[in-house]
Amino acid sequence: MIVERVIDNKARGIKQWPVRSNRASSLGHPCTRYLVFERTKWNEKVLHGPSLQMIFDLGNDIEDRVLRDLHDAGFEIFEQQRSFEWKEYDITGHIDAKLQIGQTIYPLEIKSMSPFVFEKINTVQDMLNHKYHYVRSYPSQMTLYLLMDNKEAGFFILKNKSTGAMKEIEVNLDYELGEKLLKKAETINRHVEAGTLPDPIEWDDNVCSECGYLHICNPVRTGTEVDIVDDEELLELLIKRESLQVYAKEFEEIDGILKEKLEGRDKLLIGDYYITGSWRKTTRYEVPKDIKDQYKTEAQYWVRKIAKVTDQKRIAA
Amino acid sequence: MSDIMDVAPITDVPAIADDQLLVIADQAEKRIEAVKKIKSLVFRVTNFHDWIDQQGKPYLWASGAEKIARLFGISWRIDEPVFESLEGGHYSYTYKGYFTLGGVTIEAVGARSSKDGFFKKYGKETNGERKELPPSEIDKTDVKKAAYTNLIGNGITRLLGIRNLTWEELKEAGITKEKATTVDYGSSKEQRTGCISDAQRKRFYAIAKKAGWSDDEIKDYLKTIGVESSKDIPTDKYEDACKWAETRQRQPGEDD
Repeated sequence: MIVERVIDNKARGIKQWPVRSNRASSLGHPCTRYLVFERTKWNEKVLHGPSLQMIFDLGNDIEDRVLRDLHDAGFEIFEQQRSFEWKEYDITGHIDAKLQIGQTIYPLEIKSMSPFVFEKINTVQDMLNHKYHYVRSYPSQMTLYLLMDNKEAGFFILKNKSTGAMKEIEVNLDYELGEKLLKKAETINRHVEAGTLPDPIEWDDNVCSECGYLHICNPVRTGTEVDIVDDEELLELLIKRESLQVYAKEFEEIDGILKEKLEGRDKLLIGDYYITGSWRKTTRYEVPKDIKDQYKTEAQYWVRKIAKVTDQKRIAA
Repeated sequence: MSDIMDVAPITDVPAIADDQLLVIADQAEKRIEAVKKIKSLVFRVTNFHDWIDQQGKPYLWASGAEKIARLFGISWRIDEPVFESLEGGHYSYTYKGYFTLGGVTIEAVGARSSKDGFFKKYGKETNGERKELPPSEIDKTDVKKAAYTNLIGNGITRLLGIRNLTWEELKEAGITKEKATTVDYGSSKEQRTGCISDAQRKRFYAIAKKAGWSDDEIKDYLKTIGVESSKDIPTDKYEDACKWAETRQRQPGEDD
């Protein structure tokens, strides 16, 4: 009853506003058709629900917390939520803040994330390769701020929503990415002006199924069909594998601790366990990259993923 | 006239050979087994959030349809929707789609009408009684999106041969009607409850301006009903707000 009232209140606050420009935070979206819809059919977008709104609100609260922490740590914070506009390309945006380090001022974007995503992201490349399209969009957002503010570098501050841990990622201006984004903005503007739409992207579950314009986009969905296999032996092995998985993890953990604790120690008797050890010499060849490249060959190997049908996140289309 | 009637020659229909019967029986058995297996997978891949109760029958929600489509690798293509105006300002959207799996393609239709109680919006009469708002207050996007979702659900369940599931079957998988009905209805419900729509907001503002209220006076009035902005006017105060907007008394020195 209490929570329901909060949820209702959140739901009332969800509104769709007209979109008159290409938002820097959205331009990294993988579907240009979506970005054109954002400009021309924003009033037909299916609004997100209160659950997602709560995540957004939490993100805003965390942003304030991080800015306070940075300030308390002695950093000068400037121009919070400063708006940018690049008329030539119809691009607008606002940066979370700017931060001074030494004599240099850097644009700053704060991103709060789940522990799982937080652990996986340590470089700009990790963002660009991430499976979630909104994470892949982060470098695009920063690149546009850097271009609009005439800066060479900026910072992402990542915040783990579970532990509160923080990490920083420096982003250097990537002109190639910037060029791509400006071309994308030009394409969108051309479609908006002509009242046309680009073709839909190939169906992507991570993009299309969550899209607020799905009902007006009507993309063709091409699924890779599942092969239902009746093989008792394989099924038995999979069940056994699952039951052993927990022990395998524990074994690896304990083995790692023992390896660390027993390094350099020979001839030990602990309870019924007799432990020996010795240093082994190995030979390594430090080959310069250009020479190494001459012997490069390509091979392929099969990557398999085993997931339970109930584990939706791991089931690909 | 002859008493002899023309009688059409009877063509002998050959009896189905035993071995053919066995093939048919075998195929039927395999089909039953396949449907059983599909149902079992559908139950395991979905949970109570993915089903809602519609007139006593389980109805697959968009989230569930998406999970099933992903698991089986179902493909589809969908035609542009057909909009139809109905009596009393109501309307409907109809989508037609083609769903494919295992080399078989079926056609399915999904439709929703603004007449559906699901989309109705309510305000309050001056006497405090609940009053249904006209169809113009129903969000077209909600109806269109629901028709799309209806199509996907219909297409997937038809393609997999699981159209007529019962709550009893779902109960075995731990999905009960009681749990399912607590599902979050998403933006449609959210918009039905609470504050007035943009159209209502515009109407309120237009009435107030026509009556000659200034922006400051409108703001002052809004404060008396506990809100800062017209977008936050609660649905149950909308009629009162419109009445207030209409009934401005001429101020001393003002023209008629």
